[in-house]
Amino acid sequence: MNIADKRWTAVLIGSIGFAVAGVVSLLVVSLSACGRVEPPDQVANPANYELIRTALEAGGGSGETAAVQQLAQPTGFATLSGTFKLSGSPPARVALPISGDDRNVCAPGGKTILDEKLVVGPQNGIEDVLIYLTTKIPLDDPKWVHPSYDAQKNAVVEFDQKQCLFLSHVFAMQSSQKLRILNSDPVAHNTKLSPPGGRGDNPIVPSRSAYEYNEPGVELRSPFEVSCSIHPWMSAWMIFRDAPHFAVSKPDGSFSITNVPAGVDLKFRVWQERASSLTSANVNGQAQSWSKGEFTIKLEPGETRNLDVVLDAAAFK
Amino acid sequence: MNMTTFSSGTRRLSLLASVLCVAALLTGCESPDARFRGNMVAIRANFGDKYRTQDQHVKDIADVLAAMFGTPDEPHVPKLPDLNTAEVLDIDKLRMAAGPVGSDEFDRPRGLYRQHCAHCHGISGDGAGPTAAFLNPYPRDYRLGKFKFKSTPIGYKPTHDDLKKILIDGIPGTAMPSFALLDNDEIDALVHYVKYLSIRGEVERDLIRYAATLDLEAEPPERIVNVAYAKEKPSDFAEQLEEVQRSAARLVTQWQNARSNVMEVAPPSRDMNDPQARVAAIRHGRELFYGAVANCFSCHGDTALGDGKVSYDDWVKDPGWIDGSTNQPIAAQIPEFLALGALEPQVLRPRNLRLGMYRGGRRPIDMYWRIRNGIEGTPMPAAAFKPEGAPEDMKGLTHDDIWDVVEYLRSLPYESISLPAPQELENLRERS
Amino acid sequence: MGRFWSLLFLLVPVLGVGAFVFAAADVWPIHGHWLPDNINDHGGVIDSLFMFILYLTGVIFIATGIALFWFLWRYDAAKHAEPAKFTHGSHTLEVVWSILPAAILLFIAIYQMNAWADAKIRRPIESSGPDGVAGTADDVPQRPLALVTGRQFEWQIHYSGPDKEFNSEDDTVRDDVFIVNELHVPVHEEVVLQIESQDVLHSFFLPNMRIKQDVVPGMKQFVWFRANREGTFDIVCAELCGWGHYKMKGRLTVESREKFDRWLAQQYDEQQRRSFVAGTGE
Repeated sequence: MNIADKRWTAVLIGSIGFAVAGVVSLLVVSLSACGRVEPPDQVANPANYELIRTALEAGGGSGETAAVQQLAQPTGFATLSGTFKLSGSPPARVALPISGDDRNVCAPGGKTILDEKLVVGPQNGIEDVLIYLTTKIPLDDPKWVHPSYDAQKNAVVEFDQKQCLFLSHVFAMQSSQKLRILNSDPVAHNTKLSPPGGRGDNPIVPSRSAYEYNEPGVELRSPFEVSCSIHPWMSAWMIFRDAPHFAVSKPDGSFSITNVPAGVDLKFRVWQERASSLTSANVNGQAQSWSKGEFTIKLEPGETRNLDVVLDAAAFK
Repeated sequence: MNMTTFSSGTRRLSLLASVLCVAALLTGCESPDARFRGNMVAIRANFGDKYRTQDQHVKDIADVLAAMFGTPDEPHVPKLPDLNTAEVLDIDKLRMAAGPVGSDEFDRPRGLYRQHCAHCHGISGDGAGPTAAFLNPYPRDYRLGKFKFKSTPIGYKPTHDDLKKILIDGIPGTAMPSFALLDNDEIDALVHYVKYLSIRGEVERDLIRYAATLDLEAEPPERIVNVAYAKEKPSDFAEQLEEVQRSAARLVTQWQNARSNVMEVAPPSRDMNDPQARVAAIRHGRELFYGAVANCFSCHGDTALGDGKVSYDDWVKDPGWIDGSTNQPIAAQIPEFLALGALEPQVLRPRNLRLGMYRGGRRPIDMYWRIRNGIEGTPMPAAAFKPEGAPEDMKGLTHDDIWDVVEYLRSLPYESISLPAPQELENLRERS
Repeated sequence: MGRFWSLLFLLVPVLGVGAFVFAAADVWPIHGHWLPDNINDHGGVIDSLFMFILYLTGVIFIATGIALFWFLWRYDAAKHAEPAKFTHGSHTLEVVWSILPAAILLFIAIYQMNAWADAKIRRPIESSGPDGVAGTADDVPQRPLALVTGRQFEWQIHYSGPDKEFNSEDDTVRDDVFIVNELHVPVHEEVVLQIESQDVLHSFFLPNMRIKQDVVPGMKQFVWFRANREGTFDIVCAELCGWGHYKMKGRLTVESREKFDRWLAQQYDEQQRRSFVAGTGE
């Protein structure tokens, strides 16, 4: 290799290096300038949305053209009951960060209060598991909704708080019922409700008084969180359902829903705060796979069906 | 090797390098076509770890929204049975606000939203425009359908005039400036467009919640809308459309009803222009401020400096990444949500009431509304209200109590500890 | 060919001078690009200073343009075969072209001092102080009508009200009025404004008043003017203050004392609003 070659090699390497450095720095600059993550664009298919728009504008969804779907008629009523149990060891409950001027009321004597996200009682029963009917049923038809539910349809239900804890950590009510929020504490609370799609509210409830939220009017697909801004550790979950067929499990994990329409396929959804979407369960000794916490069941008229549901600790994160 | 190969190689390389540079510049910062962005944060929040496999739902939602609301350049007002949607969303005004910035053949402005709002509030009204991440508080995300400063109670939509007032006055203490100098019909157009984006965003969230109850793995897959059904199963298709229309109809009705939910307010019984009456009102208001019924001090602090409880607002909490018991962000979830376009969680401090800076308006009536109704989307609750003729032992603030609290708050910035150092009247240049 | 270039370069001074002449005469093709109307009694001084400097620089600009053209034309290589000559310069010439501009600059510096003092230092006075002689150290300067605070991206206007005090501590007087982007002032009266910034550098610019004052956070500035015509005019920001700088625009309304008082009272009443009945708005 002669000297000229060497010089040209140096020039070549130099220019490559320069070009690479230039490209890299430009890329870095252009990427960092626009580097914020942005969600993807919504790309609609013109053929599809034109069709949907035409159908909507023609009153396609107004129910007039929609044929009323013929549901199978129930043949009577039955009771659905059972227990929710945990297999395996539950995640540890953590101490609530109780502080502020009201701590003598909220944690008398500096007592440690644990969170209620997953409370496992005696014999591994899981408290506060919500089970509710998701199949849409005709609410005015006594064949579907037993007259025993008539009395509670417009009743007032109470949601109370004491020692800076909501007394019902999971609370279910009918959307036609009237909600009264109570405060049994010597200090003021505020109860913040933000039901998705429903009417939000955030009243101050002075000590030992009540606030009328009245009827929610809308059905919710899943529970929403209730909070208190004065005591930020307070947390509960609430759901409004049109049909009265729901239950929240007791400290021993047991639940019972009476007068469930029998002889028809019904879908129930099981919800627990730490495992909102359950995909599997062991029911009466048999492994079942659930879709989004839902299972289908058909009850015989007059029977009391008992479900021993065992949920694996792995589902509770 | 001879020299010509080297030099031609170098030339080719530098050509390649320049092409790459130009390409990088062009692709890196090219402003994309205006398109609405999907609410991936809500998809993640509703579907949990399975959110990546919901492409069918994402596509269906895009189709349904485009059918009902059109695109950022071509807005559409959905026709809803038994509803006069035009009352809430005026298509002419929407067209004035939508589209690229410019003017039409009659020299009327077009693209007002993109000219004045989109850089903060985003094309989709998601409050995540290019400048959003640098602001505190973040620009409003309209898609939750919640607005803070209004004449209606929590849970009800603001009126047209409420939104207009914010555009005209701006929000002091935030990055929201005043648009007072725009023409009245331009402001009207922007308000209509904000409502449009809000309704669209809420319908999208509704559809996502609905989709979360549907099983794509079922046979046949449960979809929000399946256009193939239009011919195959018209009754199923109609049923799907009905579900879709229901949430739009509910929202349009809520906006329509806003005016009938306005809280009318009577003036205080005291004559606040009378110095003695005002002093009495301030004294009484102060007692209430520190009392257990109004409970203001527990958040705004013993000194009213806003040094009480730190919290998060509903827009920050929305992805569900704030733990309800500890009131702290769930650290593990943050990177994932950020990658989907969420903004870093920003804490919310109670207002410092001594600054004389009133975000929701400084008129006594504005302050009355905020105390009486609370502030939607924030921890600020509505006062416990004791109506006239209520039993004596009922706990709550009466109409006049609230006015006294208002008067106390109005006096706070004038207390000596709130005031800045006395003014120098000389034309001196002071450096602080 | 060479002479073509000299003619082309002549276009630069011709177009430059033309732009000014057409703009000043306000004729086609440059309409409305001369100075905005001056509505400030004290603004004439600024305009005359501007015109004086413009004439001065104009004369020099035209002379330089002609000289450059003449050299290009006269010594064009195609027509002028004589070789170039090199000199070591002229001491006399250098002295002349150093002293002359220095003298002119010094003259301008002294000539404008009064205008500067009137615009920036000699604030209108409320009273001439205990000694009763105006222009002495104990004069009481006029208190500002309003405090204008720049913030990204708007002008907040805070009127001191009848008591002429901001944030008066007196419980019975709470007459301050807060407005955004709308500045109203009475005509034919000395108006003093206090200018501050809440965040970054802004510049408070009233083109029609010939007033432009940078606003520095933490500093207090005063500007004053006496408007002599009613109407609405622009308030703009003349300091790049962020991405929204272009939208930081306000409206200045000059009106009669009666109208101004009525307007301020109206704003005050709206600000004191204590009742609400649902209107018939949209």
